Amino acid sequence: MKKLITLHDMINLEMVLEHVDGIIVGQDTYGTRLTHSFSDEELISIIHEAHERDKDVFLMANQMMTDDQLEGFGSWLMQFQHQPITGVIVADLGAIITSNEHGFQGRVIYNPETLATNDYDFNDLTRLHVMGVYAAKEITLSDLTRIGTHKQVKMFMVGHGHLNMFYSKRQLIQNYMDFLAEPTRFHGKQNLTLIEEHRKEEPYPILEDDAGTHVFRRHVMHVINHLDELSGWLDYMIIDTLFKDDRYGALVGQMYRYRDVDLMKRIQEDYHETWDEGFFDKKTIYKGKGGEQ
Amino acid sequence: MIELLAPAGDLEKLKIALMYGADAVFVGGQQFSLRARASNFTLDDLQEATSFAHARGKKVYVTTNIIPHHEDMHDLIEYLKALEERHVDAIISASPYIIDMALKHTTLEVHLSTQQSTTNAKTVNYWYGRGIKRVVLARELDKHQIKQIRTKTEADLEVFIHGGMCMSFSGRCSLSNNMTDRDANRGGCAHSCRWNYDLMDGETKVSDVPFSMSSKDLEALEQIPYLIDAGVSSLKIEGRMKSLHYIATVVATYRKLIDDYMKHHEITDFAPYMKELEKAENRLASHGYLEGLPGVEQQLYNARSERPTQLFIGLVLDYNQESGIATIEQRNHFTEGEAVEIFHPNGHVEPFIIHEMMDENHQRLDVARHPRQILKIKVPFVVEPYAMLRKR
Repeated sequence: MKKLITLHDMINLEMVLEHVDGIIVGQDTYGTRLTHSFSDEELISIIHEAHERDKDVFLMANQMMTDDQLEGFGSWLMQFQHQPITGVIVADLGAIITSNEHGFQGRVIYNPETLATNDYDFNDLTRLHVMGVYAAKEITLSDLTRIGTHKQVKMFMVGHGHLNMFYSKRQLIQNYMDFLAEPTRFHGKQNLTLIEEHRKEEPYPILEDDAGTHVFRRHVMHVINHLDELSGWLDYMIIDTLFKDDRYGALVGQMYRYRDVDLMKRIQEDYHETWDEGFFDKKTIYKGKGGEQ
Repeated sequence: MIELLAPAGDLEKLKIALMYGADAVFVGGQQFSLRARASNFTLDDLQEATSFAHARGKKVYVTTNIIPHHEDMHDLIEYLKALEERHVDAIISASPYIIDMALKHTTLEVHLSTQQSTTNAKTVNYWYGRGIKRVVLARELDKHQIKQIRTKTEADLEVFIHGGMCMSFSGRCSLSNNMTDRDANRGGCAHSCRWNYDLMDGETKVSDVPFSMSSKDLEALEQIPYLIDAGVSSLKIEGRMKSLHYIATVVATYRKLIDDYMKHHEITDFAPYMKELEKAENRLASHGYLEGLPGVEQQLYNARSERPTQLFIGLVLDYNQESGIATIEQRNHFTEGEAVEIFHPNGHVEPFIIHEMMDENHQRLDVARHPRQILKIKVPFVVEPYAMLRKR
């Protein structure tokens, strides 16, 4: 099982990569929920530096895309066609097809957030010759294991970080500030939270970027207690440091590498975090009053 | 001919939707649907539904649109075959497993659910190439992007025109899963996006005005001509939980608008249609994404969108032409002497005054105060079952 991590500042690349196997970077033209939006030149520099260290590099281009965006995306990808990129992570089937058309067939990873909930649907993406698929975040460890033991492509999973639970194309914070008749000052800020009126103890991180608005779980997902099990079938475990910093990433990488429980406690204290295991042991109920779909 | 597609939460609503002008309805079955609730259509209900619809040259689509976990995948093929045997016209699905099983084991037509959030022509064509006849496009597209997709695909395209909207890309939201342990992609959405929140900048509350993600409902009356001209195949109204009167009014209004545009190739004044819609439910409405990225004017802050009207007061069950007496089921309080109107299934409205009202034992009444009470009312013109009695 390889571990991948996100990056805030390219001057920290060496530090962040020390304990992990690869990096995920992107640009807000086609990526979203990024720790940082890197320029084309910075991306190429990061790709080469990581490659020289024998590390994997993944480009994050996970926006939902319209026809016009796909056209631009294809052109943008061309400059990376001959770069030593391990893969391109996308969230849109059209983006897979576009990536394939631009020389990335076999190097595309599909991250549909919530949709790969069973082994059939997970493996369905072999039709588009993807390198891998992100398993859904909201399924149990038992379901993940079944997918992992029946997978026909590489399996990816966010193993550490604030998991995304809402992605709207609307600029919801901008709209709110407009409603208040106040200037917008929160676009791209990573220190915002939402507190629901009946859940005062649960601040949910919220981020508005160029692609829309995103709300995240309060607790940090972690898998420190399941590394042996995951290693049996998971190919890539992602450490997402959105809302944190590169020092945090380096520490978390070190923690997973050495399974350092003391370090885990120190990180939780330093960053005032509560960690949990997401839906590993939690089954959602579903016979309720459904919304409009 | 463009299709007007309406929701139906039960058999009665299905009949109302079809009688008031829908070309097709979508319903939830008792398995594999995002409305997996006891009141959903049984297989027997579906048999009755398709018989009723097909007798009128109309269609019934069944949602099998959950995103299944392993535990949900049992008995699917048998269920799909049962739908086929009941002559269901299509299923609406998002999971490749459900889609593939339907295409492999049945002759059912398959429509791709908006749960897949399809936003571009490449994705539409990918699914079309797999045997999907129709794609329900994501709500996040504007009308020009919809038209652009139309020019690049042979697939039928379905577009939302009216009703409540998911605030997230459909199918990609797990607010409900995380906040209430209810799986939004398996019928448990708790509408957490419609709750009130405080927006915090670090430790500081940005404002005492609650932050909301909630949106006004979609209302696309003014976009209908464009969508028809663009070549959209189906216009979809949402709201399987809505009332009979809501379904009847919304369907009849869009039916009239579509027919008027097809006849005259122009709509110069949308106000009469808007006024008619307001009789169903006085909701704050917006164009969604159809005119571009929604701004502040399309959001809801600290306000309920829904303001149900009390206009709908009775449902016509029967009419005796000899006596001129209609049998009517009470739905809201009204009195003898009130000015009312009959809302006919063909969209026409006829006024009259209630001069004579009795209970089912022919005892004279001056007030209809009991819900579902059966009433006998003298009506000075012919009415048919499923016509609605409304206050003026």
